[in-house]
Amino acid sequence: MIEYDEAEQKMVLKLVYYGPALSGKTTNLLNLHEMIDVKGRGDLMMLDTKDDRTIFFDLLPFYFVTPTGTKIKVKVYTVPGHVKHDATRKAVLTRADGIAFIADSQIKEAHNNAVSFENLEKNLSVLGIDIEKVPLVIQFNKRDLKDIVSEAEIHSMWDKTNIPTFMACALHGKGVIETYKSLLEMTYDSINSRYQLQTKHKVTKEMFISKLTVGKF
Amino acid sequence: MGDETEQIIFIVGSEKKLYEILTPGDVTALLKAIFIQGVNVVAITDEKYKVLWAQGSESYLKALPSLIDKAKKEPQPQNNEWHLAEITHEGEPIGFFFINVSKLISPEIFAFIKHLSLTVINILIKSTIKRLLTTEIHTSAIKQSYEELTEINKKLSISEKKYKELTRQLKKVLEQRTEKLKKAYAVVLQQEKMASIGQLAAGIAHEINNPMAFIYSNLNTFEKYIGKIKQIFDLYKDGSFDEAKVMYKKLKMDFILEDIHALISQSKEGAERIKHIVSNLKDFSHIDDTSDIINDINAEIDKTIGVLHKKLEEKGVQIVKKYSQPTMLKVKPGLFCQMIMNILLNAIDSKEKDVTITIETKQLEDNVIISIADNGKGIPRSIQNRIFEPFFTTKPVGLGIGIGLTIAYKIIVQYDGKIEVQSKENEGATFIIAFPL
Repeated sequence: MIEYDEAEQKMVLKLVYYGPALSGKTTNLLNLHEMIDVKGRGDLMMLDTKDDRTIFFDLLPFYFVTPTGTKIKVKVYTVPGHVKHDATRKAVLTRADGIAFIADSQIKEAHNNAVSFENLEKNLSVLGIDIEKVPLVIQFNKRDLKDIVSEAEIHSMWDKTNIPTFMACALHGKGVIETYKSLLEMTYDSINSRYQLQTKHKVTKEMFISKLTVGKF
Repeated sequence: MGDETEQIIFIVGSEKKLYEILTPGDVTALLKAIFIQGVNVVAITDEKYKVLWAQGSESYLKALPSLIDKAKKEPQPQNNEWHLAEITHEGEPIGFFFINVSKLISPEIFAFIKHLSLTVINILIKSTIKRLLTTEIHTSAIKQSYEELTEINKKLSISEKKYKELTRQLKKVLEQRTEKLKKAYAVVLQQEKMASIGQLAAGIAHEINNPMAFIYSNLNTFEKYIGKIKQIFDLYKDGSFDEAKVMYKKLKMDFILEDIHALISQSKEGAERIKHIVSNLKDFSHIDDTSDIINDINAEIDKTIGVLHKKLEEKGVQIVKKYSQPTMLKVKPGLFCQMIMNILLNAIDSKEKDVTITIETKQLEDNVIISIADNGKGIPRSIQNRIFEPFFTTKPVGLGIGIGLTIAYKIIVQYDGKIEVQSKENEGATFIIAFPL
């Protein structure tokens, strides 16, 4: 849920990159950090203390000020993919405004994807977030590898759910921005009317996207 | 469990002001280090230029707000007199670094101090944020785990309650069943007793019937004889001596008088046999005996054999006795006889015919040993440890309910005795009973 501090004139949005272990969530963020080079993009904070059970997530913040002076901060998080870090995942997922599910395209990872997606559904319901309403995009990463699920198969499975799907190769920066942009668009749509982004804060969807994605790509 | 409302709620990555991120200790140390390089004043402000921390000479500190105001218009003047730099966190300006130097410092040194100061401040912010995020995620994770554990604990408590209740009910049912079983067992024991008594009674009735039959027949004959004797006496009474003499001959009085002797002695013998049987039975049952001591175990064994006399005779069982000298034992004679009988009954049935039972008594250290050995089919090893269990029997249905040896066992244990069975298939079985003296 969006954090809005009226006195401070500040809105904080939380986007979460979810998915199984080693599906490329951090790689997505590393590339976003690399490609989006605009004033307001913060440093990538990596809490990659590998041997610590509970900590393992990354945070990439973005910041801009609207024409009316409202400060908008978008914090993009990754969650630890490993099954045992469920408590951390839940803590990070709390009050999420949008979710990008990063799936591993390899056929042998299909089961892990399913387990992670089920875990996402379960945690969202625990945290009181309606999966039908929360902005959600799915990225099928690692398209450059062999033995991957075909695009046709992915579309036949996901198109009926109305969840946008993206093919990506995050390691080479492909599909990373598209996934992020799509998630931003959906997030804008979901909060615009409630927080009067366009009417009160004078932020159009185009402005919202461009402020958060302008870079050298 | 604590009051829910007292729990601190941590949101991972919550927004923080500069004064919440930097610690006065770290900042003061840094600003002091810069100040001693010959700087007039050095300060850190919040995003609205409000001074948070500052180090400088007294006059410069006093003038700090106006100096900053002036710097707002021109953050980096050409003459390198001061510098006002934005401090950002997560892309957001959260404060300013202000430095004002004396003209004695060279532009190179000034640039170096500026750069180093901003770098250190950024590192301080970053490491503090990392620590804060770490703490937040830890706390969140722990809080969640705690809540989950609390929930699990709650559920477990409920289950525990249920199980306790279930256990209680099961215990009750078990007690009821045990009680029923005890009663049923008592009934079975009683039935078995009655059955053995019935069996004994049938044998004994037969034994009594035989002498009884000829005693009865003898009495009938005797009655006829008496009638004849009366006839002769009547003639004598009337004085008809001659007629009496004729009649005496006609009625073969000489033979009758002779036969009466035989009748009486036979009948006496029959009565004697009945007397003997009854006395045996009485001895065995110990109806009149309330004593707790056996004076001679050999005699008690003999009594038991006496009661089984008929059965032994019918089957042609040979009894070999190897008794030691008379031995006393502190056991109720009635129970002792019952125990011996139950084991003997088993031995009698140990095979179809030609059964020989060897009974040996002896004293060994502080024990009296009674061994009863048969030459029957033996007891297979696999069932040797089960023969004393109630209702365990190898006999066909209807011929035994498997309680005889159980009763024997109970009697032995009651007197701290021991029973052991040694047997090999087709080589007979030996029951060795030991009682402490």
